[in-house]
Amino acid sequence: MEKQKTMIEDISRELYDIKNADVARYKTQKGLTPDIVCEISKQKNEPDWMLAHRLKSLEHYNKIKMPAWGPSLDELDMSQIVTYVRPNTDMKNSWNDIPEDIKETFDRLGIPKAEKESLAGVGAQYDSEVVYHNVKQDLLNQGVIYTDMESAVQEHEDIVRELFMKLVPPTDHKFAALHGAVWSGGSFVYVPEGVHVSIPLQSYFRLNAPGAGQFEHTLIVVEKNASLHFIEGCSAPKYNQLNLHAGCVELYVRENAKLRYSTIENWSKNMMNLNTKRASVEKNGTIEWISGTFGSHITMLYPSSMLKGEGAKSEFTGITFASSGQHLDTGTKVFHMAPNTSSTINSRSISKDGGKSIYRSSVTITPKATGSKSSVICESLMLDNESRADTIPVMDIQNDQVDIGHEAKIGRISDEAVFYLMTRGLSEEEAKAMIVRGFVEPIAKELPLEYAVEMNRLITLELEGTIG
Amino acid sequence: MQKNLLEIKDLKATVEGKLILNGVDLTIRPGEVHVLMGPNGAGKSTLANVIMGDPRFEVEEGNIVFEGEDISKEKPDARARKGIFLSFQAPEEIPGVTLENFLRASRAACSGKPVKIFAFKDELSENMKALGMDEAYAKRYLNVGFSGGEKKKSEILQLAMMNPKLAILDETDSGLDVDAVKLISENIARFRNENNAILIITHITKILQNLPIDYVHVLADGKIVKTGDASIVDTIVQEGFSSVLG
Amino acid sequence: MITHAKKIDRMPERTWSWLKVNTADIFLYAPEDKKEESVLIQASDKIEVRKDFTGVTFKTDPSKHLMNEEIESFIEQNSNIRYYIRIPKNHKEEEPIRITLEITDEYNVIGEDIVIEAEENSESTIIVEYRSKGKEEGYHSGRTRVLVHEKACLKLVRAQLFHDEVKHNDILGAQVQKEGKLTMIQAEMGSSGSTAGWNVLLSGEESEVNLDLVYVGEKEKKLDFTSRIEYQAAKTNGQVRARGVLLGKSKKILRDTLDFVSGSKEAKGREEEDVLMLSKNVRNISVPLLFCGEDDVQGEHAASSGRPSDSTLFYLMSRGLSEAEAKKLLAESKFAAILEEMKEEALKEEILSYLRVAIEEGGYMSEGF
Repeated sequence: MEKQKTMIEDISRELYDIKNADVARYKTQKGLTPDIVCEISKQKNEPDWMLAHRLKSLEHYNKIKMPAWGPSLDELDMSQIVTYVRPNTDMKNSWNDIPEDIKETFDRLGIPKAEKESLAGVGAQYDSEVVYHNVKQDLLNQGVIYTDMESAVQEHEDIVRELFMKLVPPTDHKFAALHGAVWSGGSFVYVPEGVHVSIPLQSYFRLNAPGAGQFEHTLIVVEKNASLHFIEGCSAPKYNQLNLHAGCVELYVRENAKLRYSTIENWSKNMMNLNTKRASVEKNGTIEWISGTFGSHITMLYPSSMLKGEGAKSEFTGITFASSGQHLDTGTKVFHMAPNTSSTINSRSISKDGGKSIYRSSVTITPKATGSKSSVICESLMLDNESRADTIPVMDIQNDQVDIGHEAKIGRISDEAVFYLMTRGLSEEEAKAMIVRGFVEPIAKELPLEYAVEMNRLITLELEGTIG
Repeated sequence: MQKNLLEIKDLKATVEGKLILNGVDLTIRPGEVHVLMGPNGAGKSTLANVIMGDPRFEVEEGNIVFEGEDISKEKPDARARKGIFLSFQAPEEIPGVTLENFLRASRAACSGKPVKIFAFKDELSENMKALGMDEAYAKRYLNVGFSGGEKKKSEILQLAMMNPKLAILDETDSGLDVDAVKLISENIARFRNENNAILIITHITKILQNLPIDYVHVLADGKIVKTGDASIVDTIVQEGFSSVLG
Repeated sequence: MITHAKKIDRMPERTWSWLKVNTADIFLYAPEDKKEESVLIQASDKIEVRKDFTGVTFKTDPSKHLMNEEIESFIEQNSNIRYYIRIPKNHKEEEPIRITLEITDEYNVIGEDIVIEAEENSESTIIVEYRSKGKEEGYHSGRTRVLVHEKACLKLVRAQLFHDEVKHNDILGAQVQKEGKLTMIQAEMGSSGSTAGWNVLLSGEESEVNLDLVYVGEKEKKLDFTSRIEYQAAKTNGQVRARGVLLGKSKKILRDTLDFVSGSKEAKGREEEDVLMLSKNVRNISVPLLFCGEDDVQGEHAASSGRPSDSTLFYLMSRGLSEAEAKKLLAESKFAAILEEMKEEALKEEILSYLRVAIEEGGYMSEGF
């Protein structure tokens, strides 16, 4: 008897695919030259050191080779990418002041509603610039800073100059260098010592212009004994041209501080998502990564944790859903650089309709990091045999006083599990749906409620065939 | 009066900086059976583990003298070779090492001589029979997949095979059914003679049935607060610890 | 002596280059004069043993995955020990076939190229021992290719027991056809450092492979292992177990791949790695890879590493064992599950003695408690 395949619908993209007319106020030429870089800097009225940084990064970009591993990036032709698209508005702190088409886009994405109901602050980026930024007054009173990156360069120059692209230097890899040259937009958050931001802050990145790149930079500092939950969302309508996203996230978690960084990425399938995220964690600090990768054509994304202080902790929870035309290469890197540091990695992936999901990770325990612990669990679910699921983890353990465990599993929905649930009265469809929901549950439960609901809506189940 | 077997004076011990034993005094002579009781968290298991030399605990003050020799600084294996045995509350599971090979390695280490295989096998089989253990357990990995009762029998088997001078039994009876407790109790009685001594840590009294009890100690907040004869056991069973703690 | 050194890709998919796991260093050796005094083969007269490879064909050469053309032609042109061993159809060889290669001060270079063909429905055990006499430097590089035909059952025990001055390189490729079964135990105990790789193709339906590796790393030894099973057909089953003990300043890497290609319906695979680290200066790199292009499979990997827990050591020491003895016992226990399937008691004991000696020579001197 031919086994029935579970059919899981593609994530419904209708909502994200509504595109607005491209009425940008300013656009650079396609491609990448020192002139274009100078022009971006001039548009932003930046200090000289930042222009110098951009030009130096461009030099690195021209020297560094493409990655010798991972998905093929042959389709990417930088001469066809518009690196800077200035939307037809300045940054506002009231939704009513934003041009109607842009406001409507964010309305549809539910951002203003979420702001009212469950967020302490919101930033919204449209193409290359942040068009909206607002934060609750009580956070301002406690000294919390939440603004767009351009304003931060002007208003908090000392902090930015000290920390900007220090965790992810432009020499790190080709797309870090590209980012250093043409970055635009993004968020800056500073949480002072001892302040607990109990309600999340959220930034939403929307790329509307066809053939454009988005290169937002997010810099967050959580000082001693402080805590923050930061949420990042991204989407774009689908075009026939390739779009490029090469953002950069740098997180500084100071002593005894805690930062949870949640991302739901839902780019359209013409997007190359080559994003770099890195956190530095000091003594007894904690970084928690929640990472959902649903969209894009190609993604290469590995949030990294540098556990620099004794007792520092990292938790990574990731889910990847790869469908037709998608090659999602995701995972994490952890560097245990001090004694008694610990890390947990929990990754789930689903592949269907010829989609390719790759889990890639590294856990490095340095000779100094005695008493460290690391536990890795990664599971992949294959929904048909046109798809692929690969697992490429590396563990490099350089001292003996460690406790390291790694478990990985690959497989399909088990017939036994379906049978078991059916003996308890569920239909086959219900049983399979329940198993897939159960598979993503460890991730869903880490998401803020409205995102969990969103994910359940995104993954709708439809089963083919009947029993018998 | 006989020479002391174990003599503990003003013993203070900590775990991760937290004081658990706060000045314990205890003397055990050959031929004696001691019972240690006390409310949860009083430090009973800690005392047992400290006597055995568990590296998790730090001895801050006082000393442990065994047969006239201060052993406070000795490693656990040295203490075992001197004749101290601890039946663990939760014995470790060690995959890949069979119970028989383990006992043989232990015998060789303690006696310092090669083990005579046939005599050893006979002795092992006799002791397993006495404990009602299936001999197939000798070929199984040490405590791996053993039930609670089987683990405790494995501990008492080790007691019988090692034949120590001082046996400390840390809640060897907990979680066992009536028949298993009876069997273990009989085997402890079989072990006892006038040259060795036993320290039993227990909550229930069934295990004591076959044994003449010389002393009962009550440990509370890291100190022995009361010592008396077997009658204390009945008082505690009937009226609870508050009756003896006053 | 002729030599050939090469960095060669040993990952089925490359990953970050800064991890330095993508390539292995391969050194190949062969004597200039092709003398071949130091090999002994014991088998019944039912077994065909000859020196030429005429008529030997692999549809896909399973060893190719581990080398490039340069290496292949080096082996083909320069090997001095070259044997073809055939177990005929329906034959059951009662006693193990024994192959012993010995490095001596006089014959200190071995370039080995062996083909083993287990024909349909045959049953046999082959024990290959790599030994050395004397104290001088020695060199061994070998390739072994194994073809297990339909319903044949081959058990292959390979024990590398060279002394500390021997350099060792090993490539093994095997192909298993319908309902065939290959069981392999590889013990990497000696040498000054090993680079070894296995690639097994499960080509026929319901074919099966069990790969077991035990090794000990000591002093400044570098161990570089690559293992790969490719599940090409339905209902194939392949398991890998690796158990190692690392001492001194030794460094080990194991890339362990299970590759389920499309069509490997109902295939099952499991890899298990357990590493006991007994010195603070050791380095252990594990790369457990799962590749999957077929939905109806079960693939699993489990790896753990670290030193024995304090509570385990305390328990063993409370029974009179010294710290060194306790660690020796735990190290042996890691090997036990794998070696218990070996019937050759003397060889088993010899393998364990390498482990014991390594621990006694200072391996246990980690801080412990």
